[in-house]
Amino acid sequence: MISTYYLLLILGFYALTVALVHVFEKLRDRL
Amino acid sequence: MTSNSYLQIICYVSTLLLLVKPLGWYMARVYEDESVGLNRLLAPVETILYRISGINPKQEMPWTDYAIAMLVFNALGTLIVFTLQSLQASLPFNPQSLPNVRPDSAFNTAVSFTSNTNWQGYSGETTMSYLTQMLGLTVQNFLSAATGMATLVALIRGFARRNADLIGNFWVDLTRSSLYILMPLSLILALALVGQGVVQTFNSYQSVPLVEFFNYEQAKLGDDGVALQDSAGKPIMESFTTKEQIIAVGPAASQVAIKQLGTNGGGFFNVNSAHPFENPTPLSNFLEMLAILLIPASLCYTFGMMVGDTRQGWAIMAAMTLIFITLIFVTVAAEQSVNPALAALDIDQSANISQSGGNMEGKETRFGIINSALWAVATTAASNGSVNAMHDSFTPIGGMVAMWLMQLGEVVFGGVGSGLYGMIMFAIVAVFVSGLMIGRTPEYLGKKIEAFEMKMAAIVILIPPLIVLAGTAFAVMLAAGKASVFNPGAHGFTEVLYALSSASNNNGSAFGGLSANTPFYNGLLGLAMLFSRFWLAVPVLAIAGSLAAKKIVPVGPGTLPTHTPLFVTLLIGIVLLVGALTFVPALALGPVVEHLQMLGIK
Repeated sequence: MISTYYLLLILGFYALTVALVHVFEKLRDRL
Repeated sequence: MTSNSYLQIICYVSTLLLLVKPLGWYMARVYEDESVGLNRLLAPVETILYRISGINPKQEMPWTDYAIAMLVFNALGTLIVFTLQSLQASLPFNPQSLPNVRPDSAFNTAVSFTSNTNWQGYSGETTMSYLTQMLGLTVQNFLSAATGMATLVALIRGFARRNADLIGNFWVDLTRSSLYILMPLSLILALALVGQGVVQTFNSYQSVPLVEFFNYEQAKLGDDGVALQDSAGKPIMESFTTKEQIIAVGPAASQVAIKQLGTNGGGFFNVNSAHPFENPTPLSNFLEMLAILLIPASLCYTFGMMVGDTRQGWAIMAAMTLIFITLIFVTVAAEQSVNPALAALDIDQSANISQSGGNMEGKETRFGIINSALWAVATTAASNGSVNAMHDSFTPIGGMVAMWLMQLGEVVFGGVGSGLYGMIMFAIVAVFVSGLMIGRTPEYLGKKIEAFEMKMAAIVILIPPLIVLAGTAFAVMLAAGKASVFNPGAHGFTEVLYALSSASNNNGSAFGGLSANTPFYNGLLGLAMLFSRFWLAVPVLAIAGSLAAKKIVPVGPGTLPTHTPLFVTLLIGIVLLVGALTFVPALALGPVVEHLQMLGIK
């Protein structure tokens, strides 16, 4: 059986990391 | 150390160094889209792949698109490996009818193989179907390695380009890394390994009659699965005789080749390259050991070629090699040394014609001290993690060196791509420190290193130690963390510290002695692997984007040369200083205490 909890954990991590890309880009623009 | 040890070290290091330039040259030409001899064969395949995927290979990306493509691709990879394990009982190529993998273990393994860590909480031959091994794990061995190489190439372009917004196309770099570099090398190595006796078959596990039958007793179980007891309250025992043994086989050679070349390290069998079907002969051992460092070392030359000054690549290579060789000697000397506790019992531990001497516990007799120690240093210098001996049985100092090499951030050769981009982060810190000394804006390869690059480099260097130390503290404070530790005291602490160091630096080797296939460790180590892989790759790509946009500053009288022995010394100093300052307190609680206990100091 596929565990929804772990699926969400995986997707949540990658979504957070994609957000990090945008944070770094904003930081670069500010500096 | 014996003369045999010196000869084997010289043979290994010199063969490696001889291969660096030709392979480095080849890889540079692959990434610069120049002819490499395999184009007639592979270019049509590459074109078809782009057409099927709807990719325009000429369309380059800014760093943000490159990073997002990398993340989306790896997210899909993680989900596919997770799903394959979760459904393997219903899928083909499962001759042993192995059940679905538990969700926490499937999560850990999926993350482990996509992050190029290959930490294995499970036992391969009793957990994974052939389909999961081939379509999930082996495919990720290629793709996770190619992801590391693509990230590195993007960073190199950041240095090589001027006033540019684009750093390449992730899909092209990924495809070319797999198709032109990893696949041909894997094919050659897999065939060589099959020639040495590594198994490669789709047949089910073999059942063979035992030469001597094996008798044993086992508690009789009731229908409810609970052991039955007699009137005195003692368990009722049943006698059994085993007349045959099941021998695990499978498509191992193809996985072993890429697990070594791609610095993945995940074995087909549970005991990895200590298993005679994964690593049967001294020659297979030499080839597998060479494959661990081949691509990470050669990428230094690729770096030099692509930035237009091969001396820069050799300088980084020199820093890596000097640390590596020094630590080989420390480990071999530690493993060949006499244990005072055994010497007190009049046990002969000297190396002579009839024995290896030293500490042979947990080592294969066909490899001996030197090849076990050399492998341990190579596999932890690179973020490989495969083993041919049990690191848990190494002397405290021998085990500490393996652990410390990981804690340095896997930058002494390191993972394919990730090792060199990690070392370049240290080089950026080194030029920054020297810039502070002489009061000039730091420059590296003609690019000014400013606040943004320093912030990103600091993130890359600080994330792994933070995860290692906080994770270890977390594990030794909680009952769920302590319940998995089999050994008390300093050694038990070392086992936890090693596991966190391995996962948080994407190495994947295990110290042993820690029952890590539990929901707690599968979750903790899984998150450690995810953060340490992708939260490092993203700032590296951010630096690539930032550097590519800058102009190249001409070399002037105040420019610090970064190809000289002085810079190599500075770079080594920075790497060791960061590693030492960060981890000495933790090491003092584990292997250092254990070493003093071994010497009888209280």
